[in-house]
Amino acid sequence: MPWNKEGGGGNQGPGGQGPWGQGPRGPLGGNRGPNPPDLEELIRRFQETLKNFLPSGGKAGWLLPLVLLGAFWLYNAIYTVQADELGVVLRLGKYDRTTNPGLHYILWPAETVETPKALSENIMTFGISGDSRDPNAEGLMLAGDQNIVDIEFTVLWRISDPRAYLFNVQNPEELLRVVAESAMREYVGRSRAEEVRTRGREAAQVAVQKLIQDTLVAYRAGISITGVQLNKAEPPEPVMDAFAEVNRAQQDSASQVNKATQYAFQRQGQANGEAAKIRQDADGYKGRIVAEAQGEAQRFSAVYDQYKNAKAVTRRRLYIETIESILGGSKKVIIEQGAGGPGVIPYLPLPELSPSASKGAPQ
Amino acid sequence: MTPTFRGAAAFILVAAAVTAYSSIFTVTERGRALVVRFGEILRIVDDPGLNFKIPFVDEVVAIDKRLVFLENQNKSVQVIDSRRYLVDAITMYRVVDSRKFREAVQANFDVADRRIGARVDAALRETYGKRTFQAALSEERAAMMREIRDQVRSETKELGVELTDVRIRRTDLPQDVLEQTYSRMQAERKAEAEQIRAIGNQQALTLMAKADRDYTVTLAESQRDGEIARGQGDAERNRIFAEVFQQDPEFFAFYRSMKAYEAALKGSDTTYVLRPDSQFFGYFNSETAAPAAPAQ
Repeated sequence: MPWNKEGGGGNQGPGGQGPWGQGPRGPLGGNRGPNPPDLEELIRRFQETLKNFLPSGGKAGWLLPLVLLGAFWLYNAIYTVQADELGVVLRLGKYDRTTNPGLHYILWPAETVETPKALSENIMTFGISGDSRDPNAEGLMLAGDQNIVDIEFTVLWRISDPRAYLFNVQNPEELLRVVAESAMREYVGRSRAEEVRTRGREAAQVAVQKLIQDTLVAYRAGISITGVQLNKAEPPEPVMDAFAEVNRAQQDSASQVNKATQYAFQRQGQANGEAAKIRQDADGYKGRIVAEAQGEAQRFSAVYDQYKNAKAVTRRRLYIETIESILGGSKKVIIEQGAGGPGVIPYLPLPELSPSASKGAPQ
Repeated sequence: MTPTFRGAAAFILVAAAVTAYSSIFTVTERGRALVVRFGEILRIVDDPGLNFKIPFVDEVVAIDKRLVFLENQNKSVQVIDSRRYLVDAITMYRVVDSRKFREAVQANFDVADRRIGARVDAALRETYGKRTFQAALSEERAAMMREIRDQVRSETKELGVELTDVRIRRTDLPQDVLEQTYSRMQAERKAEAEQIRAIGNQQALTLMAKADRDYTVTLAESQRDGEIARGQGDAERNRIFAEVFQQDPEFFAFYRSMKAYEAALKGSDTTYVLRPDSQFFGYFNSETAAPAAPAQ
């Protein structure tokens, strides 16, 4: 009995019978209150009471069953609505009033009450293995681009209209389940898988919530959807690795680019360093050559100043000193070249080898 | 009171209670009731409340008037290009005509489900058969649900049932197609991964090539600057020398030559073959010889 399972009318009495007696589609048994009395049982008990008390006779014998009956009536007439429930009272099967949490009474047996959990929020999950009849299939949804997405989502819902919830739809919770799944599949079927998995999550939640809500309003199911949460939207298990491969490729690619950037920085530093060295060397050369030139020039100036005073002497001295310096440290062969002297046949082009002959002493 | 009398009184009491109990019935918000006498429908009670019937003769049949749904699961349907889908459809309906419902399906929801389900099944095949694979999957889904509903709705009227809605719950691929889809998805991802790697590689190579180019250019520029600086140094040197040596070009030639000889010829591995009558040896043979003097 669906509404019992859902806590909608969850007041199964000792008789163990649901509101419809034999099930949702069974004969109309009338909907009973907190303790649906079985009339046969009642009569049998009453007969027993009679049997027990009548033979003894006396006025007290009649009083006791009356007290028992009164107690039994009170037990059935008084009911509690828990903090998260609302009480829906039917008088002779017809809706009469809705009561808030607290202690109330009904005019039993003319009135009956049901207490759906109308004030609490309920959670329904989809796509978790073992949760559905077909655990492998529930979460796998075909997207508009014919890719498959593994979806797990949660619907938060509450009873917005207890009367509609109880009396308009036979199995509201199961209805909500099929409507919600259908809505999510419809939305995913219209979208691209990539979209649902990544940027489109928020949009999916909003759209699916609206889709479910609109459908339930059309069915007057008395349910309002307070939220749709997309917990998981991933590629299906068999292609997981291929998607991971994409991630790996992204990381590889990034690391390669990083390495290249690193190389570029190194190269730049190297270039700047070497360039600076070349410039410094050149500046050094410039400085050196200028300084040398200055030194040499001044030396010449100094020598020239003296030379001006005694030109011939200085000139000769310089010449002799130079030749002396040259010849001082080298091997020398001196050949007398007289007309009848002991001749050596010069077979080398000597004049070219002798500086004093070519330059110092022109003939 | 004799025991017989008491027994009779008890019997009468019980009989009265049973009679009273079986002559009343309540109809709740959830349904309607048919009062049936010997198989014939006497009247239909639509509104909830307390009602009376003739005890033991009239029979009450309750019919749920709430929205109920049935599922057509895993129906294999073919679309235009002879590809197949596995479809789950949900059909929502409620009983509106209790008399017809009793006559057509004996007020039995299981029987009704089977009859409606068979029709939804047929409508599903027909509706999908007119669509292409892609249309059936996405854009025409809502239109298809309406089409199926309208088609089945007219046919189910005779059951006393109003079809509220038909919803396609799942549109899935058959197992063999599913595997193809997986391998296609894998291939697509692998291609994407390769592309990403290729782009990364390209970027890295570009970066390195640019770094090498910058290196070469930077060095060349510094070399250029270096040559300029050297040139400036050389120019300055020339200027300095020119300024100084201009004072006495003849002496400069002599002086510079002396320096050059000294620098060029100094060394112990050189062998000089000399004649004693060279100028340097002017006093070598005679103390009055003509003095050795450079030209001029």
